[in-house]
Amino acid sequence: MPKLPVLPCLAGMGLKPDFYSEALVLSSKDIWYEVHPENYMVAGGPRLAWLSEFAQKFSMSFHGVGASLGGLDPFDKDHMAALKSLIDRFNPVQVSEHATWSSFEGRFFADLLPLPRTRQVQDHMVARIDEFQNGIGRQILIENPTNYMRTTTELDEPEFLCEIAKRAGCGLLMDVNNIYISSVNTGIDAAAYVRAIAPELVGEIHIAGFEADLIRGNDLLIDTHSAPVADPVWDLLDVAIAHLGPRPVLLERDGNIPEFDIMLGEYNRANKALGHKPARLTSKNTLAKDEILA
Amino acid sequence: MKAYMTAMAKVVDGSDPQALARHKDSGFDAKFVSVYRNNSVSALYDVLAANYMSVLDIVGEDFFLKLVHAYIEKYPARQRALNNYGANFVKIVDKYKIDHRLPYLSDICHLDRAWTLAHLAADADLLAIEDLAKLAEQGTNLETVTLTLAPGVALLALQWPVFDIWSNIRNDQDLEGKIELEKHKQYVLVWRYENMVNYRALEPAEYSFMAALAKGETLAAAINAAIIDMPPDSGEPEITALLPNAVGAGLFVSF
Repeated sequence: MPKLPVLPCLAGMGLKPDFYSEALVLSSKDIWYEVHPENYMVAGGPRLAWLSEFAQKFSMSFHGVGASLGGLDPFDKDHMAALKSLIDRFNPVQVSEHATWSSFEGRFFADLLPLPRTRQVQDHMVARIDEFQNGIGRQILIENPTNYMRTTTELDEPEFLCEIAKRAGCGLLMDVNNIYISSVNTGIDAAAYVRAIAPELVGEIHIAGFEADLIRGNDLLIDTHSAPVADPVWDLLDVAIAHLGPRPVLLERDGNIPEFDIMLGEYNRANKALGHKPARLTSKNTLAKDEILA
Repeated sequence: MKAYMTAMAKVVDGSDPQALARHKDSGFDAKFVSVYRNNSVSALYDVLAANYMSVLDIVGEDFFLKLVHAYIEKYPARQRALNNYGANFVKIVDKYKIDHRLPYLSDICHLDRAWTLAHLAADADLLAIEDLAKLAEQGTNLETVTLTLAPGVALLALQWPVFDIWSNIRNDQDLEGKIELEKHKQYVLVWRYENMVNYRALEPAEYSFMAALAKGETLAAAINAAIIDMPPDSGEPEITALLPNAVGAGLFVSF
């Protein structure tokens, strides 16, 4: 497998318009940012202007949600062209997508749907990832899905994903929040899952918050990204870092976005898990000079 | 895999919630499959709520969800980037007129749509007043000039005078007292300048001037259209200010 591009081995943050101004004043030595490129597939205007500001200063990661890598429909040419155009313009360090499908017979579901874990689907995914990587001119990472259904398909997920990555020449993005949620929802052993992943394949880790289903409570967790990272996910992050070694860790937050100070508190905790000294915040939400991370 | 995806698609699009449960070969236990349907609706709800925030503010979340369900069924998402999703939302708002009993809601919907289109529009080099002066210096009779509106500029002729209601919602300001509307036309301009979406109500003469230019008519024809709609007690100064005001606001692309 070709060598993966390297984001700074620090905590990064999913970039949201809610805190563009505060995020922009941080030092590029201290943080990197990730965006969903689909949100920037626009003709012009403030979104692209903001992205340009960030891309000039920080290491960026593009985390796609629209490719439908596992789908049967042909890749959407407009989407792929728009993604390539953004990559060419903003030159992100890393590009990632999901090991799922989201489009069928022309309809886009705006959700990440599970794939049957069979040898046949592995072959399909390898071919699709190869086509996608060639189409955008970049090696990608693929993210493990959040699972809400138990399955009796042929392969367990680590085996399924690792073999796809090795054969397709892509890397893996290990979302430990997804693994934790899947462990609760489908009864798998989360720590065993993490330890079954080949470390050399993993280029990035994601952490996020979840919510319990309104009806079924804690028996069914929903991957909402709208809550603080839960303690079991922090614990699983420690397991992942112990197994993989330090990796760039992304803090995702897509809903109920709190004050930036609170986001930075979680960001500091992720850096601490990576073995970095926690940063102290100034009144301007900037990191103090004497707290530059090791 | 196609049989599984066909079944799963029927669950997610809501047409057959039990489709996966009946498809025993998928290997999936369908007990919690409804989560995927909920997630899909929730994602599209969020997109439409962002693109029609004033409609949501007026009708509330429960009724808005009803509109979203109807919209998704009639106009499912086809594009992977959803920034522009909801182009036909006003048709669903109109369809449910009997339920929401808000005859002015369509106009609110048009205003929200204009805001989104202005926000997402392409960047452009804008016409400056100096460009017109230069043209005149080169001997061009400005009366014969036609101008092109900048991307995202919208001229709206509303059936109800809802601009104040809408702009208050956009600015997160409370509406004071009970709103009583008397049906009559109101003209509104929505555009983006220096990456900010702007909006203001237009006088009939301003609207006629801009509408004529938008149709490709000459400056002379646009000014004549404005004069026709100018109240009798108005003088020439307002007419002469129409062009510099519009150019200064960044409403036209440069030559």
